Amino acid sequence: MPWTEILVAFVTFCAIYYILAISLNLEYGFTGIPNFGKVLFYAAGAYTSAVVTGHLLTRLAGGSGADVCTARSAALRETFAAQEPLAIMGVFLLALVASALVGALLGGLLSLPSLRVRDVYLGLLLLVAAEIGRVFVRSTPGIICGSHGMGGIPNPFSWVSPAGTRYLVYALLCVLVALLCYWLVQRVVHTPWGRVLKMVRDDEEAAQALGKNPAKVKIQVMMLGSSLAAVAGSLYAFYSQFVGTEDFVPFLTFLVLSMVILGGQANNLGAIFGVLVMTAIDRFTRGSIFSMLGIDLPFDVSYARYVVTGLVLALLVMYRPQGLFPERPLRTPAWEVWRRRAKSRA
Amino acid sequence: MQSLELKNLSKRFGGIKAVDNVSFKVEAGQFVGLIGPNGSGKSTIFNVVAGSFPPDGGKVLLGDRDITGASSDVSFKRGLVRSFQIPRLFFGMSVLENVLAAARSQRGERMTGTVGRVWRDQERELAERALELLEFLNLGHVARNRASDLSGGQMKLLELARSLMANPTVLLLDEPAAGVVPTLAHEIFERLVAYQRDHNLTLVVIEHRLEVLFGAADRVLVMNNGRLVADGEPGAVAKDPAVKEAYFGSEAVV
Repeated sequence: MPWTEILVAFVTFCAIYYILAISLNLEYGFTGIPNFGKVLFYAAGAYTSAVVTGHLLTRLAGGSGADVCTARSAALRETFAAQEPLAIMGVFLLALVASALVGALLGGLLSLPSLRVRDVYLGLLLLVAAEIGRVFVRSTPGIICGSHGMGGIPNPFSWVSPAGTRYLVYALLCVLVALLCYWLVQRVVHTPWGRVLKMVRDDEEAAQALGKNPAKVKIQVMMLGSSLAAVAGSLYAFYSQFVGTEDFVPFLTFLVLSMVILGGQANNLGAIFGVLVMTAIDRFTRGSIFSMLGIDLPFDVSYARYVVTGLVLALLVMYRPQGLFPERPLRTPAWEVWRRRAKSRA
Repeated sequence: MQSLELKNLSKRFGGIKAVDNVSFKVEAGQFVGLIGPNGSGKSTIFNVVAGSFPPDGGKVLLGDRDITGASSDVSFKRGLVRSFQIPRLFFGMSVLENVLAAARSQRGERMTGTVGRVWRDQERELAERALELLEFLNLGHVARNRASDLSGGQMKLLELARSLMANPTVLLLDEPAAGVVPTLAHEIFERLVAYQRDHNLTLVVIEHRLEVLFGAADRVLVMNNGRLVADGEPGAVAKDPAVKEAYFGSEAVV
């Protein structure tokens, strides 16, 4: 049943990308920080999960923490995870929390340039920072398995069989985490704090003249946003069961950016639409899917993704820069008061 | 209630002395007009006093406190609020949100403060006041509109509403009635005077429409080429030859 498999994978990626989308929307859509280095924080979460799993799970399985990169070590973890539900789920939860913390720390650190540099310059700076990080890991064998990447990051539901059910359960877990992230972000954003973010986005100097501290909220936003991105990265690592530097190329940042722009700036509900469309483009332009369905294409379909994503971004910026679902006022109790007063006047 | 005092304030931009050794004291509760031709240094005084950039020399005192070179958010917390000559609204936000944005000490503005429900009651109270202010300035009917959809005059009024929402003790307004129709300009100043008397506000207003300003201000300061050239009651300043010279040049006097 290739369609079920394809659909389950699609749902998993939608959930993971949605977390990335609200994380970028928080930074870019609400606060105006063009974090074109988004993929770095996603990678940080994936690699943190790999390190935690590699060292902790290998030791729990009775192996040595010294050779986590080897195929033997990976196989040991996979066999162990299939037999010990508590161990792998415990390690998964720990890795998820560790990723969130590492993401927040890294976000705090990389928010510092945003205090001095703005707009497109800041975007380029973060883009380059992410690429430097990726190339550095790829070319340094001693760091997190270098260019070979690390396998044997078992699915937390490895003990569930058949595999179809396992991936379905994992997809549902990803959706649950995405919903939690959505709830959390909506809760902190539809408040006066969220208003300060939009003030900083619209006019930083005027925000400061009204007593706000733009530097402080930028640091907070980058910490929260990067923490969310790292959670998404952690979910991805346990899904693909492998991390390697080729998964964290700048294209992913721009895929997420096009989701945010398509859905609508500062509109996390609109982002759902952006995620569905762009994830579909990303997932269904893969040769493997067509061969699964027995379709033989006369060209390499995987490059279509770049063309279509670029086209979507260009068309949006030209014809509908505010996105399909435009920004709306923050939902605070102020509007109850406004409605009541409007009614009593009428 | 606070006074505002400038002592030998100077600000240079390259070779130009935008503000050249200016000293004056605005008493608490006084309404002072600041006039002078374009480029005479009026807005630069506001920018230096409110902390947009530091002075090259001199001191700024708010009450007894030295706020020279303090950043604008710090001055705001001490009670000093300024408006901008070209409205600097939060254009992606609604009109009501623009006014709410200026309120002081909001619990929900701290990230940790958003966790509880406490900020919601404060938000309702602030919304009542913000909407009253908007109605006071004829903006009640556009409260839910985006700030970017307002007319030029309405933007000026919104900037004023925002400044008043901040409950200033000292308020610097940069051309609050520029670009609005003459009848509305008079109305803005009437309301401003009423508000200033009610709240005992120390007010400094830059304005080019002298007939509007002279009817409202207690005292008028005149700037020319970065220097203070006249200071007194509106009637006396209007007759001062130095003022005519500032506006029309020395040939016109002779």
